[in-house]
Amino acid sequence: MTPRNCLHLCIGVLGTGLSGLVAADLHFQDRSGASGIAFRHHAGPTPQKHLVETMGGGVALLDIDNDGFLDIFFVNGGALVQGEDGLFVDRSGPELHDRLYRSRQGQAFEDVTEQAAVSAASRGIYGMGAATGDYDNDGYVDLFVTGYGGTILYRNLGGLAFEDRTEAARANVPGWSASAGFFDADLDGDLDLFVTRYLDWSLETSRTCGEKIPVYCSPREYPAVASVLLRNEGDGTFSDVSREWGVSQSRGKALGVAFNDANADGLPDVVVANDSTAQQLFLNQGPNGFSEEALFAGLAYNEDGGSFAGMGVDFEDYDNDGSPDVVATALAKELYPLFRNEGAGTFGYVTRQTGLAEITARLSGWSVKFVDFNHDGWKDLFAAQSHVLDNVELMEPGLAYLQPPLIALNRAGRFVDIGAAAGPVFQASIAGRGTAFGDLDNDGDIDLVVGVLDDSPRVLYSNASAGESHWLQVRLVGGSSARDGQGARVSVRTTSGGEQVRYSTTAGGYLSANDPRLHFGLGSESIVSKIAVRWPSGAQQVLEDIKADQVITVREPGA
Amino acid sequence: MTARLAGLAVFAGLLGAQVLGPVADHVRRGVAASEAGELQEARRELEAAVRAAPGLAEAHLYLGLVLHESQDFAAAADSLDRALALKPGIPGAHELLGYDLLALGRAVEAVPHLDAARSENPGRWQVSVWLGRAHLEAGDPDTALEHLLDAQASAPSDPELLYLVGKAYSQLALRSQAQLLASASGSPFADLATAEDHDLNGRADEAMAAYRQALAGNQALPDAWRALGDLERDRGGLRAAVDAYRRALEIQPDNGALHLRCGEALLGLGLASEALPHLESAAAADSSAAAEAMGMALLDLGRFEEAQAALVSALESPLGEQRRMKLHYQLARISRKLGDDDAAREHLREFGALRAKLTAGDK
Repeated sequence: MTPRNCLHLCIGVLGTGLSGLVAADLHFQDRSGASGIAFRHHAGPTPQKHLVETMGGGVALLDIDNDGFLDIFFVNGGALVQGEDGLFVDRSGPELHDRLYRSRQGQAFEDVTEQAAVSAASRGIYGMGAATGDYDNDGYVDLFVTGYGGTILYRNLGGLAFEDRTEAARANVPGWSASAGFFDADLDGDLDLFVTRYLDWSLETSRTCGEKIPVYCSPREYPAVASVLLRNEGDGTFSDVSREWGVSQSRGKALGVAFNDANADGLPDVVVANDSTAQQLFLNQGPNGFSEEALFAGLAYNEDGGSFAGMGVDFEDYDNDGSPDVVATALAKELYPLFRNEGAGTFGYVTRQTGLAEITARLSGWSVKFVDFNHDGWKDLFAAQSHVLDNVELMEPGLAYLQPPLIALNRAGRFVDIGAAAGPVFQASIAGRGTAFGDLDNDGDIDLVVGVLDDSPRVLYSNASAGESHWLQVRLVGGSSARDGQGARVSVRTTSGGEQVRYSTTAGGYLSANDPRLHFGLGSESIVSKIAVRWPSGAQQVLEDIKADQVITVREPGA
Repeated sequence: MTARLAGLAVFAGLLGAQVLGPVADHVRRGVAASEAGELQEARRELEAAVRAAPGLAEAHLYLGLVLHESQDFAAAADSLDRALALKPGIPGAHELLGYDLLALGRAVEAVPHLDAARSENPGRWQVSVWLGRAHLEAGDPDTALEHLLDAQASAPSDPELLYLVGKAYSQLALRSQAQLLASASGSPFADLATAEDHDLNGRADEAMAAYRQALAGNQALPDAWRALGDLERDRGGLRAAVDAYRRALEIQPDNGALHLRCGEALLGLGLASEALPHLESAAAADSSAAAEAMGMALLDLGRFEEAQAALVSALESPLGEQRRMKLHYQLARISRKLGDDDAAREHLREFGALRAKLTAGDK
């Protein structure tokens, strides 16, 4: 057996050197009621069951005013109204607006939507998701909103004010866009924008499926479309380079997007989750743009060579071998596919081997993320869940539309469902969709805001930091790299020799944007012996002997 | 098959019958009208013939045939009955009468006529089919099955016959189950029968409860353990499925199908090293499914050359396109692992062609 062969098999025996870890007794408290958040998602369900009604909506965690606390942005759907000229999207009522909540020291939130001018009330877009990034490198995080009927780019002006720059920045993406993410595709120091698009569908071509019982149509009923890549021109505008950079040549039915460096060549690659068509891996070829290589890389299909309903996706290193892996959510009976990076940009389907087949056989998921919730040095798994069909029980009595979220601990590369012990929210069935991950109360652990279709979100606070385990968060400030550090690779080595890697991105999951700070669980280790940062610019930076339990800011040389 | 063709044969056989004067004219015109498809006219002529010669069995038979063709089975049965009363054994009458009585739902009365018709013309397998149907409707599936299997020797793929054979077996099974429940209610076998009934009808929860009930009464029921394992597997409970298959294997340790199920479930749990011995036992039964699963287990264990050999051997078996597609996809992965990118691309090309064919209906 070669060392590489042994790696997966022996991982449980060898571990990663993170000895003596103390795992917290993980529990989440639902503080939705006391949070001050009055937002409720409006899907606008109709008897005709227009597909868009069951797909939203997203959540973003972003610090709009740089006060050190994460604020929350919710994307709303809309009402589908029959007008004289046909169906249209109505966002006029206040209950149909997107909502921005400013954090009050992480404990409560106040609605600042009107002040910030981010309601989308007049845009006629059925909202889907949000992406965050400082595209103009001015030190304030900006906001991009996707949806059916167009997109919106909000530039953060500071002082709780945003400016709609969509037209001026040429950032409108037509059609039905879903997840999006900022990343520096060409490593020129500013953030470009990848926007997934779901289907060639419109309110005019929408129809109802089902012979006896009306159901939402399968995506197989509508043609695929290409996603869009917008290059940041560095002057506040974007250019659509989808064709020149090799993105539009590969069509899909895209819902999720995540970034990382698949093949360790220092260039950011893109994984796209597609619903019922092949998954996509856009490998960055540098000046030659991107090449879609999912089939040969082993990422396109499940173990049987079949497609699945790829919804959300994450692209992080779950087995601490230093290479990013890919997890996606899918529908019941399809299993959540987990692809282990076997090096050199090829992947193996390890859903069975990691216990995920057993856990997810009857689950249907949307947002998904690898996060070390219990600070034991291994990234655990969360998925917001519900079937896509709100009447699936009528078709398949063994399945359920509403489902509790999934939380599964990573035990040295094998996942164990701990929902029964992690709090009542993990026993309550909801229509979970987009979810954002971040440290809302700055206590060191990762909290959650779960978007719920046609319902109020769940704001869940973790208690992991109350245990004896340690943690570290890394905040990046780029210099010649993008200001918010997205695209940097950060590895953390503890005194016992264990090493973990994270990739700086706010993307990943479904329709949502996450805390930009990089979070590491350290178990019983109170000192980090080494932090190594590889910046998108190519600069390497090393910090040594860092105390745990703090947010450390790392500035790129020259920043 | 209706009695129409048989009826025409009867016409032909009677053309030589001795018929006199005006009666003969009525009969000739009736036959001509019938052959021209003018059944009303034929009926009028033949009714006139019957009125003119009420003792002439052939006239009643002709009329019965025309009434049969008109689908007036009740009137046809009366005419044919009279023909047989006047001339027992008149050719063709029993077959027609048996068929018409069957059409009238009088299966018990039809049986002796169809028996007589079968003796009259043993080579006509259709009569055996009608006999089978008559016995089924009369509640005698054992005799029905005898006749139907007899007919099947001549017409092995006749759809109606296949349907009736299935129905006969189904009635026999139901009768047996009813006997079991009546005579041994509460016994494990009665619970097993109930469980299988739920299982067949897609009532998984009830089926599982009944299988467990059966096993509570008798642990030595391998069918119950296997079925319970299948139900657990189908709902994602692979661990419980493995437990059930292992219990079945304690009773039938050499059952290749059980080893395959157990191995596949262990593989689903990611326990390749535990799965492998079961799959090897299953492969001894020369199953391509076992070879395929063994290939997957060996792949999990990093034994790539052996995995490749197992999957290639599975690919050489006669397989459906879905499974061929999967095998090419896995063989591509193994080829990549073995550093043979050309072979990987070739397998992916085969995979792509099969996948395109199988998903041609998607937009």
